[in-house]
Amino acid sequence: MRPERSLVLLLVLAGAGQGIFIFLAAMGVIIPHLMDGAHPEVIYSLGISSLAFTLAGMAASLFHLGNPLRGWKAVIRWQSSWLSREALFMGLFSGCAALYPLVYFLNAPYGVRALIGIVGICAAFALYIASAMLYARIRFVREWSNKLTITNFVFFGFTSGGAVTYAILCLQGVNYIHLRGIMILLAAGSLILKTLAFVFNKTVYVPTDIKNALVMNDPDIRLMSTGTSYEHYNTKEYSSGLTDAQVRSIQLKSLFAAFIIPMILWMAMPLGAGALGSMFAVLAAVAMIAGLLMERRLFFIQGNHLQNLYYARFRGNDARNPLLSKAKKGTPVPLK
Amino acid sequence: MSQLALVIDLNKCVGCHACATNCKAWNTSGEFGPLTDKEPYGKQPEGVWFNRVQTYEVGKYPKTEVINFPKSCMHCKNAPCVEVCPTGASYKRQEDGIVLVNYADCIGCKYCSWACPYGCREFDEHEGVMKKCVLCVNRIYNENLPEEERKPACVLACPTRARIFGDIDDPGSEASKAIREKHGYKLLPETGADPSTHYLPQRKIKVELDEDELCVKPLAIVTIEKKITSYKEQIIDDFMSP
Ligand code: SF4
Ligand code: SF4
Ligand code: SF4
Repeated sequence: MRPERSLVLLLVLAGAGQGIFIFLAAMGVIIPHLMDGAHPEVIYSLGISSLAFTLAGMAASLFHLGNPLRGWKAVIRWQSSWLSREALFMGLFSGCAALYPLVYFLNAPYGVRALIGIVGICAAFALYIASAMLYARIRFVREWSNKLTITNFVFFGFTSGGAVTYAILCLQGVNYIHLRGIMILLAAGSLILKTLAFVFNKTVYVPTDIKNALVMNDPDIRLMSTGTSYEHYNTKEYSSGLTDAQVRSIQLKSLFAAFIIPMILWMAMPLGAGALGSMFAVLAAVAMIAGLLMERRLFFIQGNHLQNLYYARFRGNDARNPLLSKAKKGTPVPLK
Repeated sequence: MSQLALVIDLNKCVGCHACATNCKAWNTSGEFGPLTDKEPYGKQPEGVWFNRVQTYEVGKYPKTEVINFPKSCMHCKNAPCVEVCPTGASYKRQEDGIVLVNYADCIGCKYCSWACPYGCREFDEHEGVMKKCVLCVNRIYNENLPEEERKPACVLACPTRARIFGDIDDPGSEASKAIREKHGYKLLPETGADPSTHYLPQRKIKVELDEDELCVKPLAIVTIEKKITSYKEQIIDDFMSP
């Protein structure tokens, strides 16, 4: 599929925004004594960055729409459409993210803060699931319609939010050592999940080909003409135009930037050393966001839509790599 | 319940694109238009079409066949594009099964085009909304048109009558009869979308002429294997030479 910048930005930025909020609100609920003791700047800076990331993602997503002014209509069909549910949860979550620093500012009692925090955390997780299901429900893109899409949306958003939270905390002079351990574990988990997703993409066997597309039983079917002298929506929207080598290179870069480099930085960061430690944490967060931008881009690029069969662009069963022979012996993955 | 649909006879389609051009001509100026073009006379012409004709070659040389393959929205019974639309702009009409987009509600999120397994929706960048074949809903019930013209524009334009329009849920319709009697089939049945458009298969060409039957022998007889059996070299432009 064509990697649209606005969607890549939406998924990475809003995902990180939700993650920051989950960390902030969870700390507020679980360790209120520490948070109350912390300088109010910590809460405001985390709260505001969560909101800023989320709003930046939302703003980017408007560029995806052909008619952004009607964007509000997206919530209408929440009973059937995951995109609609995503829009609804986005509204609920950003409401909580905006309210949360405000109730601290107004010195609201613990009960109110905890309530908004918990509702916000639930909305953030619901939003991860809705964003993931939006893609996972497109069963004609096998690289999207699998369980790894859901685990990865949740994991990557949560982890990147954690990385930003940790950087902000370090900058404020609060270095929770536990958080460092949690971040390393989360990044390691994300690395494993993304690697699994790459392996899945490489080996998934879609039991169909151009013969089914045209319902003609001949091993030799070639596209002679798309009927047009230039590209059109069907030849542009569903493919990225990148070569396999380019995709492989992005794949490697994204794994390093998003997970491996931050892990190394966190492990190597000197504890207690204020400015130097903060620099490591900030670099780790920046590398992770940059890596995830590549990773989300790749998520689109590797999506191979069934309609590509008609344009001889389906990365078909025969055009696949040597791993394919193994995949073919396995159980075919049904489309339904 | 009825389900209006097209039945396309691949055995008759000659790939002339008349259906596609007439579709564009009718719909670009009607209520479902415009079908915007970008650089229509430039080097890289792009634009929205409701119907496109592709060409495939099947088989190994010399036993090859050309398949002309028109494709427009299949008005699926179980349309996946409708269920994903967040605004309800995409809908399937109960009364005749036509799938339509209400442009006034469409936010141009393109989600429906991802959900369509056949690639039958096209985004209009100029208008910012999703467009697709409307089964000429503004012709088939149009009382301002003479009765015999209340058919889709593509059906009327087809010079070989390769396109049949009708209710595939009515066993007596011309469309149902064609599907029944000429082995009509659906594309990608495994998607579960249950497309309503059916295709009739291309058949082998039979040569029923024996050489003895010929009064005058043609210069060349091409058999089905495309081998030239007899050919006498002639230089036809001899008299033109100085
Ligand atoms: S062919 Fe595509 S656009 Fe048309 S009804 Fe089926 S799924 Fe929807
Ligand atoms: S592009 Fe329009 S018709 Fe398609 S899903 Fe989005 S709002 Fe619905
Ligand atoms: S039915 Fe009408 S809109 Fe659909 S392809 Fe034919 S002419 Fe175009």
